[in-house]
Amino acid sequence: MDARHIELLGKSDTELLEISRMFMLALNLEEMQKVQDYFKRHGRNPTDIELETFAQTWSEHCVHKTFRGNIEYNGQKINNLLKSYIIKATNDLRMPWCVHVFEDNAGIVEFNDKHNIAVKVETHNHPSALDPYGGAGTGSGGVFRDVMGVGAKPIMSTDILFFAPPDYPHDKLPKGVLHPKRLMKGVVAGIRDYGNRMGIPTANGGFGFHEGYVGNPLVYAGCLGIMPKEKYVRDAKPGDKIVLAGGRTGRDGIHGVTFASLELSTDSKKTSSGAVQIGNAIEEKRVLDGQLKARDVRDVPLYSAITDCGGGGLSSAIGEMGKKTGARVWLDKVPLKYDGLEPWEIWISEAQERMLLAVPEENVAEVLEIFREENTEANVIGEFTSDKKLTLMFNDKTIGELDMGFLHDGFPKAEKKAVLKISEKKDPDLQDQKDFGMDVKALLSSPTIASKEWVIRQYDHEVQAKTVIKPIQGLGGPGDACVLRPIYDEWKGVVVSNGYNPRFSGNPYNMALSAIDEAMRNNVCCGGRRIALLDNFSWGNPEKPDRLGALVEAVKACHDGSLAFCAPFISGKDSLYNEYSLGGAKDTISIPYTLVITAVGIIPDVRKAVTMDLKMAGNPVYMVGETKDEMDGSHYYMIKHVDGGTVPGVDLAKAKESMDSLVEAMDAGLVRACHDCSEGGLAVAAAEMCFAGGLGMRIDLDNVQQKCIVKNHKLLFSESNSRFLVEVAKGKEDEFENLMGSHVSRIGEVTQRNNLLVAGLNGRAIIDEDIDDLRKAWRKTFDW
Amino acid sequence: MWVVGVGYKHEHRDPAGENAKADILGLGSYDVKNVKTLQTYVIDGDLESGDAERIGRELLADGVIQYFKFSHFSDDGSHAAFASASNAWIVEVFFRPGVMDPVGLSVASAISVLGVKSVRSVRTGTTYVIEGDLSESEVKAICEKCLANDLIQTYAYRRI
Repeated sequence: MDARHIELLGKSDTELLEISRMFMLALNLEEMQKVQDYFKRHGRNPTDIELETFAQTWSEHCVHKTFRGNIEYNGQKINNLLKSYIIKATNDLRMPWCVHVFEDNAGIVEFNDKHNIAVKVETHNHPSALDPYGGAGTGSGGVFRDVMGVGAKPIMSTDILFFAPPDYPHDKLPKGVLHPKRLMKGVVAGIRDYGNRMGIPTANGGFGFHEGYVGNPLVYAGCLGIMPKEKYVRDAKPGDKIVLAGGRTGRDGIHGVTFASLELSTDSKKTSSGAVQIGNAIEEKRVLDGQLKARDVRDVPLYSAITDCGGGGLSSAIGEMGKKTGARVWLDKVPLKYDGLEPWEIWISEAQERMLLAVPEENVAEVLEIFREENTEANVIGEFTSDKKLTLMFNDKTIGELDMGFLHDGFPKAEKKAVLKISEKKDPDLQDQKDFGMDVKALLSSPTIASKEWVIRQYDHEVQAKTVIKPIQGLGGPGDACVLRPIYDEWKGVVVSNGYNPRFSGNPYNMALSAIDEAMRNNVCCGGRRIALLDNFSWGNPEKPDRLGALVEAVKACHDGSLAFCAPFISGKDSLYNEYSLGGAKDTISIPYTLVITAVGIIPDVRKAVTMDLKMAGNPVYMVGETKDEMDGSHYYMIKHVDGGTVPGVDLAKAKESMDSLVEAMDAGLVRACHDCSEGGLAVAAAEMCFAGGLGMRIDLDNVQQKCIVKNHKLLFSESNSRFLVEVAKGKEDEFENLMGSHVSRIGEVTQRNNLLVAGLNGRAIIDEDIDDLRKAWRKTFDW
Repeated sequence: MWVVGVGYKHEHRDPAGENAKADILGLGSYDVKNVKTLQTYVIDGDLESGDAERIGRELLADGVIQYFKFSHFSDDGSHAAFASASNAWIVEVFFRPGVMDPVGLSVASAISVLGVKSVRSVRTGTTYVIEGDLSESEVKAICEKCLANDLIQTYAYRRI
């Protein structure tokens, strides 16, 4: 085994591109020229492993070229989208409880005086499209390792999934694409097996369905962990040994991204162990137990830094960890699954279940012994140096030597153009109806809204015994957020929720604000406050100016929403280039712009957390917030097969004030149940609260606080933001109204009767439905 | 090499089989009356038949609701005959070589804990017994669209 030299000096531009293509480097001309310059300065040609190192370190996955590059947008120059907007909001807010944000594998915020929580959300879209089971499982495994990579113990997982509708016609399915129902079953099984086997509760999540995901399903895996404050270390020192713990290395995941972009042929008979992997949760559990022992066996961890091997494998993990010092790696010391791997393959393999530790020489024997006790392997594969160089060795021979500085900062900034395209759409102005009962049931049965009990019952959401507020509430209703109690002898809790509105893609700024508002809303529903946010973008091709323009708008909304809600972003991720072509068309279509916002709040006493099921007949029902004529992207228009109107916006000042007051009301014990009005609007929220509580509700639309609406269907089904339905304890009306001020309207009460009764603007009953029928409609879609 | 198949006893539900049947019927109007599954373990090692029986009884099958059968592994799939049915298709789905099989790894280490030390590796798969009037091309379509992912799995079918 030896490294090959590749002729780069003196090559023309065309030849450079050809080299990039031949070795699947995915580097563009400018980047190849930079690399060529570097080696010209050093007066030699690169080895294969050196070229691969550049390809990995400069990949979109590792450096986020789009988010960190230059963008020209409507005559405005934006230098680094991430720093100019999202990180800027966090910096401006200066929240003292933000401990380490945007700098490590996961965002870290304070939990109490002794502990911090670490949170990360990732996407694993391409692998899941090819093999849903393995792709989703390794997605979970990867995000758990992100949290382990800051030294925290994973205590819950949240997964948000997007597919085409499960009844998508088989004959319309593009070639080489798996049917959404099969994808969904595989993805759910992958998440289930990884989380359940590792003993991490999957206690929260969400689904979105849209035809636009047919070629590109989206799988977001998130994880929350907890750690003692003083156990965070991230400082590899010269002389520290590089210890690789966990699974063995094989050809897994090599050039996975390139593979994913090829069209899949059905008669492909080759072994594709390269791009597609299946996770081994038991192995990761052993590594976790080993690393926690190494962390806790003394006052300070036995290691001086820790990280996971994810995208880019060893090359990214060691490159990143040794950025400030330098590192020497003995690739022949890496334990392999099978013989025959080239050194460069070992270096970039994305084999799962591996963690990397920097261990001071005097602790090495003890660390290796700890992992051995946990029945997993750990080996010294290199050391950190002080020469600021990355040196790669194989059998005592140097096969690569690069300057860390150039490797990490030498890449050329991407220059991209962006424009915004928003088309005005006329509202379809539907006729009024006498009865909306059928519509409510149709909405409850639509895939995004329908009960996910089939999924939830497969996930273990109780393991570790920390889950207080669970996904299914009351007699069976969809919870808004998950509440965990991470420390067994304290009542303080963590509240985790998500928000996403890909149907509002028509106005990307409002789409993003809506996602933030929804994530905040869901958190507040259970009593969450002091909220930190995570952003996760899945987008179309950013080389196309309209896609990039939409991205810029969404990022601006993140900045504005974050500042207004005083909710800093602490971590984020992006997956771009999610496009597909239908029926052999030349132009590709972007997925709906999908921004998932994850909100992590705290609650001082989990016993005061609120659920969404109605509690007692006779209690008044209030609505927080104002209903507006904002029907574009609504689920109601979707089931009516019409289109148009305005995408919901957010009145940020009002939203912040009303949410703060609502949390205060919860703390004062005034609120018995709370549910947010989102998909399906007021009518769906009311129906869900009824059948979850086994009680009826009477609502009068005349009393709903609203702006210029004269049609019943808009009051019932508009998805205006910042709205909640709240059941208030009888006798506490005055107190509640005083607290909430102009933000609430009293719209009805909880009844003993088994029905949802809504009086329309004309005073006549427009909905009178038995709650058992409503529950049936909600449950039938995923009765798999 | 030995193969051990674990299925559900006649009087108990076979959720994986029911699930597969629903998925097949979801594909189109196939004449499928029943689908049964056997979790299938191919054990590579120098075993006595007594060892194979012990592995089935003590490790792989839940004796209350499941039965197991074992035989020598054969490339022509004739071992699959221990799935009892008539006028049925047998489909076997296994991972391609090189694909991680975590359940197989766990089973191999558990066999060693049982005291049987001669096992080199274990591969897991699923055997489907599909009862119904189906043509070969229909079975092939069912395999491709529903039972096996060609990227990571191989399948073989035959009529019994």
